[in-house]
Amino acid sequence: MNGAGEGEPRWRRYLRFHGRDAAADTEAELAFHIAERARLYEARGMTPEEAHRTAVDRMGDLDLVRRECAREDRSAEARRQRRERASTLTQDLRIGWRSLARRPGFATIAVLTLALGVGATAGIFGIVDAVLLRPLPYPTEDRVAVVWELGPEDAGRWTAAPGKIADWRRQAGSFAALAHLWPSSVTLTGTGEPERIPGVYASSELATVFGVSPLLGRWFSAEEVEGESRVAVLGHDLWVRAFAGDGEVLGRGIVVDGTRHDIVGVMPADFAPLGDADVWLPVGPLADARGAHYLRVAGLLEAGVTFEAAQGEMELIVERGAAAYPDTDAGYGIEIVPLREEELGDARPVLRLWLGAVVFVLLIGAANLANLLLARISTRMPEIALRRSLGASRLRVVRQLLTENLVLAAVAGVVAIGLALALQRVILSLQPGTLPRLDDVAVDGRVVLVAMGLAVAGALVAGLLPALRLSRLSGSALVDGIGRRTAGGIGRDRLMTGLIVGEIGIAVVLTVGAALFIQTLRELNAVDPGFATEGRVAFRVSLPQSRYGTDEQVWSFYRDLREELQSIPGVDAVAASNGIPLEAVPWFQASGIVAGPDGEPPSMSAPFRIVTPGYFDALGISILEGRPIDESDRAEAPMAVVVERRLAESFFPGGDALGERVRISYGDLIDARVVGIAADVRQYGLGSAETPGLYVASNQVRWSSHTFVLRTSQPLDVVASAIRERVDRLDADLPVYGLATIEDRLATSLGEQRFRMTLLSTFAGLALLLGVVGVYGVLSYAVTQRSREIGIRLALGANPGRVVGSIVRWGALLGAAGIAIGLAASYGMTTLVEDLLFEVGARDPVIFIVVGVSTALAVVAASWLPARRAALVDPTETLRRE
Amino acid sequence: MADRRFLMGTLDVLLLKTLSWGPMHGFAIALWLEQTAGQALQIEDGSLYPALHRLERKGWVTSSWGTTENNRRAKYYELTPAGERRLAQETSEWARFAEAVGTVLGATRGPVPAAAGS
Repeated sequence: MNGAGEGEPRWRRYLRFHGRDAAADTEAELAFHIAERARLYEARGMTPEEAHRTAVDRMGDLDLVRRECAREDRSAEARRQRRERASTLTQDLRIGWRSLARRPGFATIAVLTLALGVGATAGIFGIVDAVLLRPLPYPTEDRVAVVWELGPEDAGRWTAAPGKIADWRRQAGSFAALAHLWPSSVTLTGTGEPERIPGVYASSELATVFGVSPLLGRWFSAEEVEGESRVAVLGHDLWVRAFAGDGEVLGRGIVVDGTRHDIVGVMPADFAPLGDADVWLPVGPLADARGAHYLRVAGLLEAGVTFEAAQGEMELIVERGAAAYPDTDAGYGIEIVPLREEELGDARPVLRLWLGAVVFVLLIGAANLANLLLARISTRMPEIALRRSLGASRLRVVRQLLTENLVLAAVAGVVAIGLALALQRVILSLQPGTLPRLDDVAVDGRVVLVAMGLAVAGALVAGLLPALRLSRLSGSALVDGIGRRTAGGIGRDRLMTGLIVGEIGIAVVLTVGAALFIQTLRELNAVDPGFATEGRVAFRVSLPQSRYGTDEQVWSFYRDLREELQSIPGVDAVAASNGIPLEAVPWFQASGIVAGPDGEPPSMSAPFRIVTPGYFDALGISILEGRPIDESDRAEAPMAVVVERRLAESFFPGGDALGERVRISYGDLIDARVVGIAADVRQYGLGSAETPGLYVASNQVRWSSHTFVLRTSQPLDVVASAIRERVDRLDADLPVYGLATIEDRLATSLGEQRFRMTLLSTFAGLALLLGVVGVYGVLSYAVTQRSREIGIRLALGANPGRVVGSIVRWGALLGAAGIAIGLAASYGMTTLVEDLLFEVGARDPVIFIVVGVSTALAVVAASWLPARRAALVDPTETLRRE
Repeated sequence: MADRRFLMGTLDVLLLKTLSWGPMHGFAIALWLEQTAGQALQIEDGSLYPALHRLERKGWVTSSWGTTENNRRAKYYELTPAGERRLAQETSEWARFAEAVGTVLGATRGPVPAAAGS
């Protein structure tokens, strides 16, 4: 059998040269057959013509045969081409993988530098996605408007007064429904330990406004709200917790604040309109009061009505109200806020800050990768020149180099997904609970998609410039002798230099940002809170109206509980107040009015703090003048007040406040006498603006919820059980809640700041590290490239110190350019975070200088290592190598 | 052609079997089939070629140009390993099919009447 193919390669080669004209091929094949058959007939004695004709006849329909052969050949060719393309790709991928695997050091750095930026960005994207981008769990989301009153004299958003809500409901045509609610907390008994749970008193429209149907049963009706019926709608959480998700729970009872309520409905899990609640109760008929602000309002816009139109209509209604009721309504404004803005508006600046920070890290990572690849150009040159000279097209070379980067991107993407997951875990464990919807954060398909997409985009963008540059090599470059660089050539590459300067610049911006937040936290920690934080334990109790209806019942309970708590071993002072500093529970807001002794017009609005005797001592608040509230301030004694220093100074300018008479508004106007002046206290948080307040005696003003403070050297868990036991002794149905040390509360109040600082510092550190590694990489590479030049210089007697100096100087120059750009950019950008800072200017010169100098030091350090290596170049060795 | 469908599937197996003896050009295949099957299988010469090209597309045979004993250029077909596997599979299927048909046609007893309940 001569001539038959002996294997795949020969056949392939054959196809490549002859396969183009399959039709001619078939024709020759058929002609051969006919000729052979005719030869056979001739041998049997036919004439040549007869033999040929018979042979053709035996073939059958020749045209059909040709067509069918052609069809088979076409689909065979298509298949072959598909296979060839696929094999080119797998070949490129294989080459890519091999060339990465050959240099594991380079590969690791390249993958990490990309994966860090991509992972951080993908992780933060996952959080932004869950918090900001996903729809709220309310079908009517786009039409729900939250209505705020605007307090007089730019006092900001106020909760609404019931008398005004009634007007709105009557007059406003913009709303299909208007709901009002009063967020509170209630005591739950009869389901185990007495418990204090978030409870909301709501109107009948709430479920309608938010477009949510109950999971079981129904929402309460307008009649039930008007009649203050004893009905309750359960939150999903409580339903599962207290009733084990019982489907037959409707009609059963629940004891709230000592009163049985019939359960009429259960809401789905994510229903939490304007705040979480375990139970919703009818709010009762709307009062006429126009001066008491305590209700939250949300409305469902009529279809087609915009938020702006609703705002316009409401402003008119408010104007009419101010005309009709000047005493209570004058000066108030109104604001319509879209629900989405209301729920997520606060989260936006913080998330934007994070996203900005990680995108910076990503940019640095990509720039670093581009530099790594540019630096590697020289090592790839011989190989690429060889391929070009063997006939590989420029496109083919670019494609191969980019495919290599795809391998890199794939590995980096996978690593990045791991990093994103880790970052989210860390953020979720550290976050202080100020962001909504964090429960939904996860590494899901969208995050994976973003990570892989960013990795691929990053690798391709970073790889494109080097690939284009390499592909420009012609085959003849091989002959010209590449690898022998002209001195100083690539080392001073403009592109690499630009990338490095940019990297340093970005790192500087991030570092300035981080430094501002570090300084903010330091300033906050330096604030004197005005009270002692160490060795204090606090908890809260709330006395139900049903059992503590009279002044005497409330007062004697507080008195008895103080005595009980005093007897706990290791406790040396006990006091209570309606709200202690840094308390997160809703407490008596600023609404006391201090008037002059003759009852002239109210001149100052100040928050009340109702305190028991011993309060100042227990909390370590200094009394500057006079005396604290004490046992002598009983119900029958004249009303005593202690004012804060700043209040004393502004209300009695120049004069001594002590002994002055004031009138305070608490239901009625009550005459009182200033008996003491106390030091200023940070009541709302270390960084917040404070309205100076005044203290009154809890034995003279009744308030049904108090927070008790114990001064003790005992740890919290030891005191905790003793506290529960003492409270039980007096009232077993009374829940103890909010139990924590004051130190913990302080830490919590700084949690957001600390978290912000930690996160930003981490990203800045990462950016700086990447930037410095970039400087190091580029300089090391330059030293390697210029080792010949350096060798010659050293051989000619150059001082090694000067060689080191010239390289460090170059590094310092890069650093200086980057730092200058970075500081200039920071100057423009840090004002964006101004609102998040405390006692630090966004353009604080000290911070700018410190960041600039320390970055410069880091850059010089990074340049020194490669420079030293240059000085150690052995001249004879380098020259021989060439 | 009375039974073209039957023949088409069959033709593939016959070609694979023919090539199992070694590489051959189309005319040699036609001759071998004539000699082996005699007049029982009436195959038009032309119908061999689309079948061969189809087998090539499926990767069961490969082809290449060579020269014959009397020095003429001819296209030779050769069985690939995939073609050998295919042949073995088709052969055993044919044997089972033929046996089943044979058993039916050679049957000596008619259907058993359904048992009556009485």
